Amino acid sequence: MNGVDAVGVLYGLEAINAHNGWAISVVGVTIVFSGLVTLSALISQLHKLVTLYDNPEIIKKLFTRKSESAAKAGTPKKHMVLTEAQKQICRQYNLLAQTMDAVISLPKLLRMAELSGLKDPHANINLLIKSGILCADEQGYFTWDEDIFIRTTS
Amino acid sequence: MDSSAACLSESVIFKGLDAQDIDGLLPLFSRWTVMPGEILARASHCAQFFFLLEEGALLVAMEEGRAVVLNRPGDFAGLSMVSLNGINTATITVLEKGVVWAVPCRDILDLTGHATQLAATIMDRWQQYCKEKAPFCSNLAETGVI
Repeated sequence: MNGVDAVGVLYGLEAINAHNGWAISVVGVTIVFSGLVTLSALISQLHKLVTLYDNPEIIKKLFTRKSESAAKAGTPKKHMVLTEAQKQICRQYNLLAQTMDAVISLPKLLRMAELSGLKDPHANINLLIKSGILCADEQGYFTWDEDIFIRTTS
Repeated sequence: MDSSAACLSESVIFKGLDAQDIDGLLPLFSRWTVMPGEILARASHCAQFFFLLEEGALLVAMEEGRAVVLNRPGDFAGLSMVSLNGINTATITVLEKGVVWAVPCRDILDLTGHATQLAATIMDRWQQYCKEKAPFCSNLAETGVI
């Protein structure tokens, strides 16, 4: 018979079939390739380890940022405590802001405050920013945070 | 000049430079006390100074009504954020009484114009700073002044 000698010992493909040779080959190839892929992934990220070794303060910054964001997430937003005069100023600027679009151009708000005769427009706009009532977006414009405004001026 | 060295070392752009480089930069800066409403640079005018903030707040008003408020010690109102080809592209107004360190535009541009490690470090940090502070700024690749 093909692949079988007189004593009954298997050779060739029949031997492979009989002793799960294909399964073993597949497993072996999988293990080797998995190892190679893992190794290449590790090597590709080595440059980050070198950067960390050169700049250890990055690790500190990472932990500081994580603890800050955890703290921020856990605690409610604190609002600035304003005097009555400052609250009145905020209300005046709220009226101005309502005449503008949802996104506010700060130079335009400043110009409108000057034209309206409001006192110390620069210092007051700075106050609005510090108190969180005016918040910058990523497009160079600002939004009026009604929530913070109400909490701050109530 | 101690506070200018402190201000430089707090700045994202100049932080971490060698003591020798910092010593070379210090004489370029002059201290100005500024009051609210003061205009430090006007758009469309010739660019003369860049400003490093020590204390206070500055409004950098750009095109299309966009603006950035710089209020952290070490913030830098300069390079491509405020000028292009020798002309101011933004108006810098003081919002809060404070102190700025003014540096002639030409000095900074001469410094960053050379192919040195210092220039590369400053420009690299400038790009990162601009991306954080003014991501909408389209001319980040420019140095600001010819």
